[in-house]
Amino acid sequence: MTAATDLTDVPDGRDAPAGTGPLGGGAVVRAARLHLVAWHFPALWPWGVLAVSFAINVAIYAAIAGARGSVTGGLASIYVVQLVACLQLFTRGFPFALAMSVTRRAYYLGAWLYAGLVAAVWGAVLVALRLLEDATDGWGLSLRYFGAGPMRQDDLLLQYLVYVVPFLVAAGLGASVGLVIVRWSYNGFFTMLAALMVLSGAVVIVVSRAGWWRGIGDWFGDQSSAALLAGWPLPFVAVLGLLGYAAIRRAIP
Amino acid sequence: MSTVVEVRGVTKAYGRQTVLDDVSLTLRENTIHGLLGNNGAGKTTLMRVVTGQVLARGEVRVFGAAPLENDGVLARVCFVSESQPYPEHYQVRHVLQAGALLFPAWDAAYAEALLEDFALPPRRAVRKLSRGMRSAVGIVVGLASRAPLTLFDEPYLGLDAPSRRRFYDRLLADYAENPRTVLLSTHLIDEVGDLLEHVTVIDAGRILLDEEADDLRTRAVTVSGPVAAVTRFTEGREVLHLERLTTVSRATVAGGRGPADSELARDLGVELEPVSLQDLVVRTTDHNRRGVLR
Repeated sequence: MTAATDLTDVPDGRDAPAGTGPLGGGAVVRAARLHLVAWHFPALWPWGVLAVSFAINVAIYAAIAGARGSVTGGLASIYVVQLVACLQLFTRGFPFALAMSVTRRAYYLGAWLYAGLVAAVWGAVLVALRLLEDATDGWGLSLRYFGAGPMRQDDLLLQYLVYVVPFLVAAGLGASVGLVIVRWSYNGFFTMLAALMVLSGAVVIVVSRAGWWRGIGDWFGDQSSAALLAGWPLPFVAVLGLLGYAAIRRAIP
Repeated sequence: MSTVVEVRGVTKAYGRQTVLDDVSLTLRENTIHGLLGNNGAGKTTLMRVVTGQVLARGEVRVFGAAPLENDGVLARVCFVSESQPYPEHYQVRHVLQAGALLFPAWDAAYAEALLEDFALPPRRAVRKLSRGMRSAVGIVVGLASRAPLTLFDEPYLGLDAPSRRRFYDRLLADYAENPRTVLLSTHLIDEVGDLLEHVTVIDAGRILLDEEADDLRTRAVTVSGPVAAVTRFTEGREVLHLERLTTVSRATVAGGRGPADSELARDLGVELEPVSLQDLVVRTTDHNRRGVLR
């Protein structure tokens, strides 16, 4: 038989006909637009959950007389829902797209393009809601829901980034977990959980033995809330993004 | 006619089990190819290799290029799988919207017409459809994609006989108007026998037959008559199958379609009949399973 070439040598789209470009730019945009088909599901759930969380907070603080200047962590709910939605992009959306002749590369880059645009738009909506919160003196209840604690930034650009970057973190975490499940199934997922537990245990032991807790605490204390929420997470997102790309290139759902 | 798909020496193993064993296959442009074989023969894996979904050793060319991760090639390929996954929240109409987005030659009006043909409610959630209706959604995508290379992997699971008939009719009619290359895997061989122009039979990961459907029908013959006469006729021939009642027997033998054969049959007083595609495939795979390789 003829000498077998290894199909696992993934071409970089160089064989593609004219018009698609070396990165398959058109294919990436089409893959991103795929998430706008049935858009109501990924768009309504995060805001629906946020609305419920907000309504509960308002109801509680309205009921508790004198709870002025209250702070709540309800805003985290929208990031958690976005994490789950991004996980689903890979456990459910990816096998479908692959079967519909989308390449892994185009799907992955398209999913990030979509997640990035979602973060950009939703971050702007959150900034608007925080400004509204300020203007209404905390919805008439002195409630700090959108500008809660460390989320609140005086500079509007920083405020925007503090809302946007956690969406990217949620997308990166959701994509990573989703890809682990797609590529290595739930055995891989639980192996990853176990490995993370071992790793964090080891870190705690090492840090305790070396007496580094104080230094670590000081370091965090020296960072501004904007750096902790919008600065340091970015390299973390970048690493997740690269790992995810490596994982999806060989993923067979 | 040019070649659309060229598979050469492809081998795929899952653990110790070899699913495809040095498979070579060529698909011609604008031809309906049948990929026939038993469950677990390797049909689905071969199709997933052709569409770049599965990595395997060997060489695969689709429209002259490696399909794996190739946006330009895959945009011209549509693969309808019996186990096609759909996102949880998708309704039927969302599947069509996705098809319109992803397949450049998608025909939206035709897709709508097919929905009506198969009585698919556009606003029904795909996960709530019956097995047969889910299959029909895949069929609609495969037909409406108008992809120059369309692969149907047992696309009719759960479909009732009238709907299957409808699928074959629509496929033929659309193929006549918009010629393209079709690879249809099935084990309902008799149903599609008339549809196929080229037939490939795969068993246990190996290609057993790969021929024009017309040639294939002349490959073998069924001979029936008195036991002694049938035995005389089959002497020195490859017997694929033999049934014997008390005084008469019936054998399927390779070849046997020449003028000399007809003369011999007349002399012996046995009857020669063409073999249906289904019988031929069953006999050939059985023959192979018994370890008597051709």
